[in-house]
Amino acid sequence: MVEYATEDSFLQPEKIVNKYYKALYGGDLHCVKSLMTWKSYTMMLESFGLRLSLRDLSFKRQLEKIEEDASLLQEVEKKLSSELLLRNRSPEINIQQIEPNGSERKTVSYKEDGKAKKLYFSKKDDCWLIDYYAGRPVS
Amino acid sequence: MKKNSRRSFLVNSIFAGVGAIGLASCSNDDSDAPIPQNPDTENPQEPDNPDNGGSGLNEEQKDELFFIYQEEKVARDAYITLGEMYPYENTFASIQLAEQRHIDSARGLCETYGVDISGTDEGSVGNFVIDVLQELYNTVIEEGSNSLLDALKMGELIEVTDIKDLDHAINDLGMPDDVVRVYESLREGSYNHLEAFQQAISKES
Repeated sequence: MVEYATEDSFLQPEKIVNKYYKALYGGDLHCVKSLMTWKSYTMMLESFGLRLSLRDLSFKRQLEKIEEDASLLQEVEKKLSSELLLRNRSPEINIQQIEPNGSERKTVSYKEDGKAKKLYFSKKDDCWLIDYYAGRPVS
Repeated sequence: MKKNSRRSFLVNSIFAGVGAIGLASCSNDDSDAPIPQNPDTENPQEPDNPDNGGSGLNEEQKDELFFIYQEEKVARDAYITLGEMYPYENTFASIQLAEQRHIDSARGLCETYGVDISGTDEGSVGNFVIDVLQELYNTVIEEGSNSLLDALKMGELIEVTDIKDLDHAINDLGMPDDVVRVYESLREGSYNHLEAFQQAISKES
């Protein structure tokens, strides 16, 4: 489902953080998908789609089946993309620190509108991808 | 299509339909919590094999332990905040204490298996460094602020999700017995919490 070897994926993690936020609140989920592991991407859909799920029963049902039906995934992405655009957010992102975590992981610490945040990255096929499960410090 | 190995987060409860889960196992009641059906009852067992020292889990399992530890904070913080919004509804106050024990248990497993949690911050209520957890928390609080009934439904939703996530951790990851036992105990507590929220919802509806 995820095409890892995109131009975006070869970016360094600190560049990906900015691109991620721009794509997320710009409703460009195709771009967001290219920046994340599949597991993290579905997690993002679930998390950011919760608000919509509570109000739209059909969206909720479609979200349930995204891993089984590519057409439903597209529907979910379309609806969530519109909802994200309606939020009209463009948070200010300031990168604070980039920390290697072993040889295959990195953690980027940054501020989103002044609030401390972190995005974790893992390397897959030489591409850095956002990976929410890569936060555990490894030696 | 690539399969996700984990159906996580609050979406599980949405998918399950809040209130749809049966309450088959609520027998571990030994608490004096002053809420219906003693929801604040779990007494998580400590890992019984502390000598493993990190050698008993693979990398994916350790990642899962670390994530669950971080995720548990969402429930506790949500109940703290909703409890402050609705101080006359004691379900939130009672269950937030149990949720702290969930965090303690998840932390204990991390420590047992050598998962470094030194960079995490349990103390800052409502603040999460991971954006998906922050989004979940924000959504729950936003919805819960509409009314007490909505807040109770958010509690119900959180518990259904916890149960599903723990089901996954227990059944799908090949975790060792001591981890499974801790998670089973937490799951039983979540069933009790769920029942408490459902009873409170019935009264409020």
